[in-house]
Amino acid sequence: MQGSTLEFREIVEAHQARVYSIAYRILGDRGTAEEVAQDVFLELYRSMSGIASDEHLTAWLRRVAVHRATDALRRRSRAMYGAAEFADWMAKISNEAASFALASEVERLLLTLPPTQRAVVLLRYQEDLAPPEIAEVLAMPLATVKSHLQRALKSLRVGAQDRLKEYTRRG
Amino acid sequence: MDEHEELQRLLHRELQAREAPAGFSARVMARLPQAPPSAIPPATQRFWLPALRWTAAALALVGIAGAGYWEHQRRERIAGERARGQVILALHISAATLHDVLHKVVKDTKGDTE
Amino acid sequence: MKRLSVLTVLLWFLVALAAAAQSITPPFPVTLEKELAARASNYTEVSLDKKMLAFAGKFLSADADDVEAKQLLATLNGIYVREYQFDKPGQYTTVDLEHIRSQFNGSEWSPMVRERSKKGEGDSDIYVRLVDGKMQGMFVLDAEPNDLSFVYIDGALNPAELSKLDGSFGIPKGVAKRAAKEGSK
Repeated sequence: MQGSTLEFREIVEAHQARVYSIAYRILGDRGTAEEVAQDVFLELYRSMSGIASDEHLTAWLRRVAVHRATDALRRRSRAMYGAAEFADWMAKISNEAASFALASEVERLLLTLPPTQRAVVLLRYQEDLAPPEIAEVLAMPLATVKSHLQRALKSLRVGAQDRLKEYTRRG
Repeated sequence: MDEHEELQRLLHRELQAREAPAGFSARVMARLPQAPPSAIPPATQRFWLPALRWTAAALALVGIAGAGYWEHQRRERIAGERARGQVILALHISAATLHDVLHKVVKDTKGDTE
Repeated sequence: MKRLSVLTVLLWFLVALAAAAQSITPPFPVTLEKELAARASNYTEVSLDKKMLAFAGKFLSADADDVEAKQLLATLNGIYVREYQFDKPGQYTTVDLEHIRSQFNGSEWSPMVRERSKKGEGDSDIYVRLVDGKMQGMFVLDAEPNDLSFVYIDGALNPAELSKLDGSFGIPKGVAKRAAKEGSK
């Protein structure tokens, strides 16, 4: 699958939301997420001759976005897994107007999960992949994917209890 | 609708892909190298094709001769991949169980001091 | 001659006993495991002895996670995990938990964490096996109303190895280090 520069730009525009969302929701900060997302597309540009179809392209983007984002997270000196560390870091780097819309609440909850669980949740609920497809994207045994998903949902359920009540009241 | 289904519904709805920042595609395009995307030039393909045919024939001969050996290797590889999967799963569950317990300890400790 | 052959048999028996003590088989009560599995809506049981760990190690890749796994496996004799999910609470009893814990009552085992919830939220335990001041095993139990997990890691899981789990496989940084510090006291 080859394309001109214009066609490549169309590919970027068609998939940038997906790639950026994966990166942002794994990393938790916009700056690093954009860097990672740009790198994904640069790598795609170098690898275009190996892409066989639209489906292959989407699967490739998902896999590389997840891997690059989790690699970037690994390289970070500060870990975001604990609630206290996460809250401190959010206070420091956020220069946006405080928004407590529930979409941000869900993303905050997501960031309290370990990185691999975040990736599994994103592939399941953002990308609508079934567990066997997630296993293929992450090159992970299916049983491990299911275990990650089960634990992630359990953690999210506990973390979201109060917020869910508020949300369902608001409708 | 039970809590589990409610959570799944919420996740599906709230985790729709976010818009990329404004100007994202332009910034990506600005970083592209000047040369066009990678592709195998036709001349190289012409050179490769006969070489490829001879290599394929040689490989077929080796394949027939070593069929039993390869089959054994294949089975071992499958068993090995399965074992690897089990190890990764076991380490994951071990780490996750330890994480959960330690998290509770930390949470309870903070609760005691607050 | 008769005395010699009796002595020989006794000697072989002692050698076999010593050899068995070097590689401990999972002490989880088999009958209880079967009962838990029967009551669970979902369960995972993985038992990997040293031979299986060595075999699997050959197939670990160069990915960051696999490299970390390979380093961990190098000093382990076995990993045994059991994870059960139940549709409703009450599918196991405190007696069941005590039965599991009692397998780790020997003098070499030190309880590092022992949490008992009065609100019925569940129990947590971490036991460490210390030989000459070094960690030679770890047992973790996490019991919640609808979930029960227990893990036994047999081998030289020293504090430095445990710290390597920080940030990987879901262990938050600092938490594993605290546990390692406790274990080396």
